[in-house]
Amino acid sequence: MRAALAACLVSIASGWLAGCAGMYPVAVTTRVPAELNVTPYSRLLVAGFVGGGIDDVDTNAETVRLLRSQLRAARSLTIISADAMPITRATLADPAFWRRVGEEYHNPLVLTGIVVLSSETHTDLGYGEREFFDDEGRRRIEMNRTAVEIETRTLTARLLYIDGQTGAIIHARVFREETSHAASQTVPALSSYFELMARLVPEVLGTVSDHTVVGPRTLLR
Amino acid sequence: MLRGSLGILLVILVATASYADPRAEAKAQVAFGIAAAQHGLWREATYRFERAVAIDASYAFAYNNLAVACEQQGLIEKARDAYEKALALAPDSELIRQNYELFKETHARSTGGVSR
Repeated sequence: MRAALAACLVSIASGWLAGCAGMYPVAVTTRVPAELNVTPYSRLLVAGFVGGGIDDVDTNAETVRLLRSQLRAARSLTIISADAMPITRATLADPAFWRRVGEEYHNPLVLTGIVVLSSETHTDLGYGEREFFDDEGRRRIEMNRTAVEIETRTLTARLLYIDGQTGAIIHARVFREETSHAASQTVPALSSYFELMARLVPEVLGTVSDHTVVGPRTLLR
Repeated sequence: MLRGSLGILLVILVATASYADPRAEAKAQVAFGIAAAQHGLWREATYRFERAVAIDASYAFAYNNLAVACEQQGLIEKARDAYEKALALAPDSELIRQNYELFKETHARSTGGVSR
């Protein structure tokens, strides 16, 4: 034990003497507490979402399934298994409705909201290649600007955290994420949905569960 | 062996500091603190960086390092204070600013800095 400590101290001294540059990158591990105080709850109900946008994706069913599986892996709260509820914009703002849901599921924390995946196409200027032969018959390629059709898919989400006992909204977050591709490419809508939800899921997990973040920092001398 | 190693370290520190002005002495503490941090000995590093700012309160890099060490140990408010002191002393330091931006990004949630 002493020998190990001594070796460590000698190693520190060596590093200290060797360190002549002024910047020393280190990784800092930080425990970030859950954004929301979930201690009054033992269970979480991902109730359902007002969907919309592209018909190819049932954003209510897919979001319920995805968030439940990710939240189960986080092991912060017990995730209630139940069918995805058909939610309307009117029910989102109806505390009596959520109190009834709370009674049915023994006053859990309820996650609901609006998740819409939309699409729009626009024309942008991009670079393309043009092949030609010069006066001496040599093959040449030149870059030229050309109009490109771009499809942008946007995931807009408003997530509401509702207290199952009172039916009151206790926390809300809004997200807007988008991804673009050439319209000539065939990208399934579900693929875009998962790409965009992957950016949103860590925020949801961080809202209800503690987590650690490892980040780079620079020590200076 | 342990005593011998500590002796070597002490000689190194004293030799560095004995001829020195406060900044040089603070730099010696910072150098040791950095080496400790690189070995994961963050409590020792924190102690060294605290000594450095006590010796030379105008040493921006020492405050930056103290902030990083505090952040690693979950002392968030202390880290924030140290970053702000570092930036007040060296407002043009991109590296300190970058550290502070990363810190704020990481801890925005616990202070309500994220849009709701």
